[in-house]
Amino acid sequence: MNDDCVLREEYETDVGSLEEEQTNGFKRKYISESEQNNCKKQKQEEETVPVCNRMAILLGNQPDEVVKEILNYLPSECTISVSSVSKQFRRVWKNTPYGIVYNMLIKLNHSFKVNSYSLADKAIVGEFAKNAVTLVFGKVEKEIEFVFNSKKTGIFKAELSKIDQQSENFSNAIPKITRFDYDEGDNIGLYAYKGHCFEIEFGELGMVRFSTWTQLYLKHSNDGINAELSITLKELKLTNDEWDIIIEKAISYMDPEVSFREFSFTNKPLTSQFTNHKLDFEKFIW
Amino acid sequence: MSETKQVELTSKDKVSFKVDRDVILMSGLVKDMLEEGDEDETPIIPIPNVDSKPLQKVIEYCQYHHKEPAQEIEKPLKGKIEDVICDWDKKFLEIDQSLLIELIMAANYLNIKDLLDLTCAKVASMIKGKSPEQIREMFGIENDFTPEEEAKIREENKWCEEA
Repeated sequence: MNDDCVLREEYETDVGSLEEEQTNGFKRKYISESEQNNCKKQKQEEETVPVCNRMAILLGNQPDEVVKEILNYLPSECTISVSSVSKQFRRVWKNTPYGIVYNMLIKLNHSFKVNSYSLADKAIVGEFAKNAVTLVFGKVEKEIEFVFNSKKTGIFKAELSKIDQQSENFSNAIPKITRFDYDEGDNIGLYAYKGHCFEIEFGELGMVRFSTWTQLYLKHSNDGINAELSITLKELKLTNDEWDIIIEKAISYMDPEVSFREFSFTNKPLTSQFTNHKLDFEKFIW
Repeated sequence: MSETKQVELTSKDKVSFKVDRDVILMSGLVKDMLEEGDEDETPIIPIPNVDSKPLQKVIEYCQYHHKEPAQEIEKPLKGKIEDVICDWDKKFLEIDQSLLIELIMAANYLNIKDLLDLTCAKVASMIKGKSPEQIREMFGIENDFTPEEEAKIREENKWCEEA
């Protein structure tokens, strides 16, 4: 309340002495002398100009544009607070980069709970959340290895290394796989979008995603990072057949109860699914 | 060289301001209008959306910054806004909240990007670290969530904050 009064008085003094403003320095001494009066004055003013109109005025013509401009200046932790101010704010917030990421995380968390994945430990999810945020904003200094599903990843890697027909590149790529995971789009509901997601992450290199919402995600993420990750993944120089082996193997680790319930290709051999999904870097890698 | 060309701006409440043409060219809107119009000695430009108080501040801003281009404010804001802007801007922002918001509208309408950035960053700086309740109170925003919606949001946000 007091802060508000100070601000107000500073302005009123300014108006009274615009010409002198350049030489006059700060006006704080006026304020301390007459602070009580100002509080009264403020109350009177608020009666003539209803408080609730102030922001309504701001939100008048091009609300989203201006509010978004303001939100752009806020660090991520503050935007969460802003998101629960009003419906308008939440709507705008959801379309800012932070909002997109946080919504993604909220939905992911929900999905983890529903499917009781190996993510019971909240701290780990938190780690993931932080990483996802920094990743999207391109400020990753040191990639922390994602630890969930690490047990599965271990078995997965062991199985892959037993596969016979493989190039040197293939063997080099296997140790780089740090995680694979599967989510049903319906549960993730990332962007209120129906789809299925499947991910293989190659440590610091990036993540391959197969899903209907991949492209939607791409649209919101940083093109620079996409390009970089796409290049580094290309450097693995895996053939399409080798990609198929990895994908097929990974899918065999999904919980059939959860994973295949709604998959349209449940009754077909898995490989045939991916003959239509030969790895296309433009489409599937970010 | 001939004497400086001037432009006359008329505010919503019918107050006229004579401004040097070079100064007010900072406004994208005025610039476009001047390019369209004929070469009057002192063209009169009505600004029907902006009151004289904010308009005067806008002119003040342009008079200073058309010679001293403003430095870009980094997004997101690190620390307080006062730490990243020049002394002149600091003094300029010593205004009450309703004028600040009118300034944002004016800057948006007149298309003065640097002023819009400055004022929006100022609001962001005020919002920073405040609870939703405090933000609502500060800007007089109505809480239009139902209690159920609010509870749901609180639950979601709680998890985010932990993360």
